[in-house]
Amino acid sequence: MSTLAASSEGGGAALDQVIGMSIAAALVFAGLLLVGYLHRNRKITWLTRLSEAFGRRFKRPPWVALPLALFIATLICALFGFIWDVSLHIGNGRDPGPLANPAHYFILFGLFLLFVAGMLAVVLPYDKPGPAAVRITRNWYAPVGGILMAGCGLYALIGFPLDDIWHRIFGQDVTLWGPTHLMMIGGAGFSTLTAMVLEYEGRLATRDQEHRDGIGLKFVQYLGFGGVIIGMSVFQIEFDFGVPQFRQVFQPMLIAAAAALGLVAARMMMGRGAAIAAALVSILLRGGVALIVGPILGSPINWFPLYLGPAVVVELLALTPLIKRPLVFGALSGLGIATVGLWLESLWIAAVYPYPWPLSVWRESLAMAIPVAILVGICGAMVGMVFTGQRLPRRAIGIGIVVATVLVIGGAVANGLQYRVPKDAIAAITLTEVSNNNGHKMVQADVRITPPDLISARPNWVSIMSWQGKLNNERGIVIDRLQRVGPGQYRSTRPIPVWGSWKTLLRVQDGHTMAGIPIYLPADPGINKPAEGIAALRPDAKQIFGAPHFVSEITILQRERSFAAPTWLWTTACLVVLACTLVLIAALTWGAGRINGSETSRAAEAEDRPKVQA
Amino acid sequence: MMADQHTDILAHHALLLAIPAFAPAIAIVGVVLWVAMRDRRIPDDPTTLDGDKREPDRR
Repeated sequence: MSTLAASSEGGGAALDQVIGMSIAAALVFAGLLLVGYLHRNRKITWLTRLSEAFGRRFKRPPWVALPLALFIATLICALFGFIWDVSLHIGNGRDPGPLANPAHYFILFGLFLLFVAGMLAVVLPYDKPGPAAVRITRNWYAPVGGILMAGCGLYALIGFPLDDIWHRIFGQDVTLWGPTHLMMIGGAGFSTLTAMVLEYEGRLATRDQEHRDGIGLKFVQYLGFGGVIIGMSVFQIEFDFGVPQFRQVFQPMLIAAAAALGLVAARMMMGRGAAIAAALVSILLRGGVALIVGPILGSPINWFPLYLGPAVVVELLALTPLIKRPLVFGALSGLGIATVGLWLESLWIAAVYPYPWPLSVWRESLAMAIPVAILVGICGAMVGMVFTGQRLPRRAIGIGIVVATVLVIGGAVANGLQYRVPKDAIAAITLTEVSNNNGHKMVQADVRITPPDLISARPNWVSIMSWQGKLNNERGIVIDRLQRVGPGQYRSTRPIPVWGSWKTLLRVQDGHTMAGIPIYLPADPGINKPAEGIAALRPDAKQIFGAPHFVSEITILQRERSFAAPTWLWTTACLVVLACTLVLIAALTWGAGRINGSETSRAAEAEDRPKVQA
Repeated sequence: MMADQHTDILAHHALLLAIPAFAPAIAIVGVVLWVAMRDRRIPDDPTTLDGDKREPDRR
């Protein structure tokens, strides 16, 4: 997902392929339509029997059990594909061909089955699935969670054609934070919430039956909240691999926001210890995927936030009477997460991440994370209220909170995106060959930045990064934080690769200053780029010296990107993606409000006029 | 080792692979919306078996 294939040929074969794939699409469409049609008209029974078997096993209605089982399986598959894909792109660069990246299949299948899981919940029920169900026809009602899940799947899948259009206009953006990439991962991320909504609707529909939720079901619910936390963490993945292309101040904010939503809701719905349990489940899942992708498959290593510090903060706050006032509890949890929680998390970041948080990052980070986490915490509390059947605040207030959250996140992101490239700053770089086995040239780097005070005493990083060196060469990624040896003077601490397909650059980030210098970028005929960087221009020299100017990092990191398209087009394209995203958030808000409204009014009327569920 | 000639169509293979996933999804949502709208156009009379019988197709 993070970068897509660069095709090497022109039109020729493509038309056949388009026809073939269109036929495949038609078959898939016809197959799904047929099964749905036959099921709705009761002409087949296998789908009913299958879903009922799942229902008995999980003590949930069939229209919850089967879709959720499919959802869990498919989302884990998509998560694995996603992390693996990102790691392959970091280690290998863009794909040499369409079939060369197996991770894409996991993502594609995962997102498609996510949509199918949602549609399954929509299609399965013959009887009205709970009071909040949405009428499709007079004798067909769909659960809200199913509709939202299918919507998330659709949103993510629409990312594919939009992504293609995007690449055609703007070239490939080799970053996770391309707007269309955000759609794909965001759709999958938010779908975790819809799964919890569906699970809740199933719980409502079976509450009159005599059974207790067993330990298996409890685990599924913990898994759900662990999933929500992971789902909200997908935007951090570049940080997790040590290849962030944006300012570091984003990272604490993103962690705080994910924690505030998932942990507050988990604690409210599932009681004491649930926040910690959800964090542990997310560690288990992310850890498992990281283990397979890194050590087992030999791709670049990725880390992940633990969320344990934030979870402890939430648990402690929940021991106070605050828990009885959900919105206040959510807000204070957000505040606690964005301060104490982040500090605890920073210890873990410092221990394992390539770029720890320096003292200088905190001021701006807190200014971004605290308001975001407070508002997201309130949203998390509202999610918790929905899942516990507590009446939400008045509609205007509830919607107002969601709108305010979106605006505050938007403001924080806008601030985070501000950076400057220093004008007329140069770095005198001396590269000394330390080894050269069969042309595998490794160098030691001395860097002298002018002006010497360009970089403060505590920058976010001054580093040399080499990536896309292919998996069998140190997993294709080398990150070396340079050792400061004097004012503006730095030295590498390990051999730096400057050969083959490696792309090596000097990276500097200090507050708002974010810039880089190419050291070794091989010629890339696929995108019409010549070799760049002092090491690439004199490959045979034992010692190389150069003093290039700093440039904007994206011109190096996103070499494939085309900057030729006009700005208005870029803005319009971003607005289209933004509109899709706002529709998704609005839909989730609507769904939560609808379930809560029908549930709380049902409770109010329960005494005198018990409603009969169809 | 990458493409050896200049390339102006990027990513179309990945789009190709995605066609069988996103196109049916969009089409199915279209069908469901169509079914829902058609049902709402038919007068709300429970005896119109005709309409009732034909509506519930879908996916």
